[in-house]
Amino acid sequence: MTTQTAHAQQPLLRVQDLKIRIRLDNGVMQAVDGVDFEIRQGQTLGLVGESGCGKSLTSRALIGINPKECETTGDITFMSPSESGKPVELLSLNPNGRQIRAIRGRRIAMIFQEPMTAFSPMYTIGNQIMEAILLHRTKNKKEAKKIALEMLSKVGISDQEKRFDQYPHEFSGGMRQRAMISMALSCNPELLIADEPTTALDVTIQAQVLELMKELQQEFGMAILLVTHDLGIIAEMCDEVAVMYLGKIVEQAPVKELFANPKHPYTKGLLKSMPRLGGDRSRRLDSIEGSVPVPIDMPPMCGFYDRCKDRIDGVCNRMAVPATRIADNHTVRCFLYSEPGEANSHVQAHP
Amino acid sequence: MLQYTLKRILLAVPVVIFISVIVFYIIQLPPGDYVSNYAAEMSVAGEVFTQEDMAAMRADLGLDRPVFEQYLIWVRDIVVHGDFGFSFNYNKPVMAVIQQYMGLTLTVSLVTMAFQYLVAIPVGIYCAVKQYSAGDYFFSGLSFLGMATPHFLLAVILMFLSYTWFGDPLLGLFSAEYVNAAWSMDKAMDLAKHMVIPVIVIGLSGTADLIRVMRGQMLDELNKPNVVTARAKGLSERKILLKYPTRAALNPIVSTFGWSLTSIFTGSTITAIVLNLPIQGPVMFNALLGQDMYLAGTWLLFMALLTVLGTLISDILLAWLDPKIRTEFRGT
Amino acid sequence: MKPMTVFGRQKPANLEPEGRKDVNYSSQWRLMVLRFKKHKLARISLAVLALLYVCALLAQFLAPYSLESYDSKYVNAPPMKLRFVDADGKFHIRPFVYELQSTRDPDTMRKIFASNPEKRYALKFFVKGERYKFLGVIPTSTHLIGVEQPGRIFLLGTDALGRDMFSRILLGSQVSLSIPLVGVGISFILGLIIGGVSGYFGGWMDSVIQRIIEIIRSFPTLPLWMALSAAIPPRIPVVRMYFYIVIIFAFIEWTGLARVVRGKFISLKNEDYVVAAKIAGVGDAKIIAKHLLPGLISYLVVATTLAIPGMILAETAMSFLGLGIRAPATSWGVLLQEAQQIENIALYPWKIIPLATVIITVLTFNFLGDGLRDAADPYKR
Repeated sequence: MTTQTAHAQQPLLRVQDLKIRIRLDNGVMQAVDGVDFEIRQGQTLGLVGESGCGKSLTSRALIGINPKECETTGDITFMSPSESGKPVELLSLNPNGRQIRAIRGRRIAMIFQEPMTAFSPMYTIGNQIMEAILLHRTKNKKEAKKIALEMLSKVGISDQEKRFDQYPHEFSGGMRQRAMISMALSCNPELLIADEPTTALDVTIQAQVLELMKELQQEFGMAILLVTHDLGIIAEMCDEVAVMYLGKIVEQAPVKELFANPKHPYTKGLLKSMPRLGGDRSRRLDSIEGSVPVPIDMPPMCGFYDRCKDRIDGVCNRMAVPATRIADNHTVRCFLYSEPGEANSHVQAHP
Repeated sequence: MLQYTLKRILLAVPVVIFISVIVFYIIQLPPGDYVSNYAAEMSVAGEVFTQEDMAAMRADLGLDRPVFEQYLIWVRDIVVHGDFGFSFNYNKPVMAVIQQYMGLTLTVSLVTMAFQYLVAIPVGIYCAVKQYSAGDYFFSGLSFLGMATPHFLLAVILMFLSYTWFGDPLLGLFSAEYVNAAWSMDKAMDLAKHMVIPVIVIGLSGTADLIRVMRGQMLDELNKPNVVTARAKGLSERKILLKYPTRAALNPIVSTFGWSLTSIFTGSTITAIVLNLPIQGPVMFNALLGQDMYLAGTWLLFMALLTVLGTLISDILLAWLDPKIRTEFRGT
Repeated sequence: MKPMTVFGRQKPANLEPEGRKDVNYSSQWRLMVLRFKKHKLARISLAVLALLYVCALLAQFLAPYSLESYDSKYVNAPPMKLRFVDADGKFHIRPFVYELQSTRDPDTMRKIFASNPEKRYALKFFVKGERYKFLGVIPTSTHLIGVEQPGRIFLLGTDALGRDMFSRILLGSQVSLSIPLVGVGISFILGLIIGGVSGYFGGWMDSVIQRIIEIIRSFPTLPLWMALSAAIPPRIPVVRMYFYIVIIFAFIEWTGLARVVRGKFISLKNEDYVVAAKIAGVGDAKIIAKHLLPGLISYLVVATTLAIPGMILAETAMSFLGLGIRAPATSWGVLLQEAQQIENIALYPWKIIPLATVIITVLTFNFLGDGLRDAADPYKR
């Protein structure tokens, strides 16, 4: 419980130059293309972007649960405070091996978008929650059940004894997501990856679940990587935001800075497309024209070029865009803020 | 659960009654009747049957009455006396004929069924997990071939191979010296040896089918998010495979249990004729051709009953295996 | 190219380079054809099936002999080899066969055949032979291949009556390949109408139809086939016999298709776009024609294709047992009757050849059906 303040600025997980390639019938898709970020202990990082921008693949790559077809390269360094301080290089581990499995569920847990399909319909909720506890915390079934029941009550599920023996289809959507959270937190992880945790839920339930996540973060002191397409949730939950577009992080900043001072044309577009309380109701919301291209055999260029209002012909469609640091903690990947060839403005030199 | 089962059984009753009517009608369809067939056979042997002889025989067998009357009498005897009629061919009550062949029929059918599931489930899992591997192609090819080959001919080919390799076509279910011998270890071994070909032949198309179903189900299940969840929990691949996709994929497979027995029962008919097996199939085939109507009728009725029963068993198994259906009964 | 899907998620693909644009706006059918073309096995199967059916159509022309023509001199003769090089090592541009000479095995007294290198018969094209009607209309006596009289050519050997197996397999294919098509065609129509009525209108009609289907399906198919086939009177004209058998097959098969149609109708009926059309006031007939049928036809084509192999096997089995097609007509099942005894297979292995044609046909129909199914499913990778 003390972790949050004590280690607040200690890095927990560092991702460097993460690339994910998927082989398809008609070429190789560069789904994630050189992503860098860092998550500090007890902090919440939001990863925001449209469907298909690679944010889910990125989050799953952290614990190596992407399908075999995904070729993943780069560095993912996990610095667990409890693992005698020794950093672990997650990508170098055998994806089915004992070491990574000891981290999955135990140190880094994950919750998913569709709690209905993420639970197996064949087993009771209790059975599925206990599974992780039995694997990582205790071999004693009675004790495991006790922990599971405790977790269920922590996520606000009443009548736990009865609920424990029920099947996923007997739960409502919000209850299922609560159960999912209790399952993820049952081993007291240091990092929780939440992949669109509230997308499938009603708006009122969304707020409850988000509130619950915040409370539990306070209590357990874990860090959260929140993957979402909803800027509202980002504003509500995160300390820092990374905006992803077409496999790249195009802008990264603390949440207040990003909302107050967006730089990348894509980020600006996203913010404009958000309805605001107290805004002029007769005004139509802005939308970003066009849609995301498929990153197969893309030439080196800005992926947003086709849709960008401020594009520079002959520059943006000719070369890859480097990331530029424009303020402390604020980086952006756009030629509007860096001269082409200005290599020294790279935040992190790419190998 | 019990209520559901009872309801299903009650619903099956009218179906069975309807089936028995149709069965009786179908047996009457072929031109002529048992007496005219018998007379034709006898005249070949040189014995002359006059119209009066035939009429007397018909009256004797009750064949001179209208069809519906014959049906009602047949049903009455079944219900009241458990009497399924008389087999003209065997000159015995139908039940005696059926009893004579039932033991071996059940043995062959059950062994075949066990063979089907024991082979198909592991192979199906293997093919799905190693999709597009050499092994997958091999088994998929084999199961395609299994579905495309008429099994009666496969029986002939296997017999031929067994004859050229072992000098014994393994016809029937027993070697000559054991047919009338009392049961002994040797006789059982002899039976086991003779069952290899029938079991492979009868079980082949079912196995091929099941492999494809199992493989398809597994592929579906392997791509489900609950597998990813399990992986994110840190479970080992082996544990995940057995606990999640396999368990879920088994549902539709296990629910085929019911009708699988029926299809083995009937599917074995042609094979049994070719292989000269002393089981129901050939006996009933001859009954159908020879207008031995009570025997044929009883058999068709049994088959239809078995199918209805099979569907019933499948439905109940499915309801019992699927938490969604099961919990509905628990709640109320 | 197909619309890109990654892990089941549809990706918009309309920002692709120019020239590929047409793909993104192709109709459902165009996409199906494109996807089908990618399925190599199905494409090959389609070609093989086309070849088989053309051969069946032209069987009288392609076959050197007619169905009944026999030669008691050549009973159970083995297949002849087409040769280019003769006994003296001389090469002939025109392939030829040797005359078959029969002798008796001194031990078994069985007829054995040996080729006589003295007597060569060159393979001729467009030879005059027995008279027949080309495509059933034009009377002619020209056959594609043959040899000079008194020579004989038995490319696949002869049967127990001295009839040419090659000709009989070709001519038998007319029956074996058409019965499943006609049978499935009839059950297709029955299934579409009855299943459609049941699915679209629902209510009591649906319940009644469902009960009837349930009862028909409760009958195990094989004994039902047997019982019904046994009811076909012997010695009736070939055409009527053929007709009876087709009816029996269709009668048993339609229930399956009706179920597919019904299920599909019910699920499509509740699709948002159909409900939307209904709310917009579109009439029943137009909804069925415009929204339901297109979504259904592809499934029906697949279900039908996959129903054919079962019918081929059933016809073969029934004919094999003497309950299906009977002499003088012939089918592959009838031809296989001679392969029933293992002695026959041991002594005259060529009698098993019709099995190969059965297997090839069934396999190709299966592959074709699989290919069509994959092509018809827009959400499949």
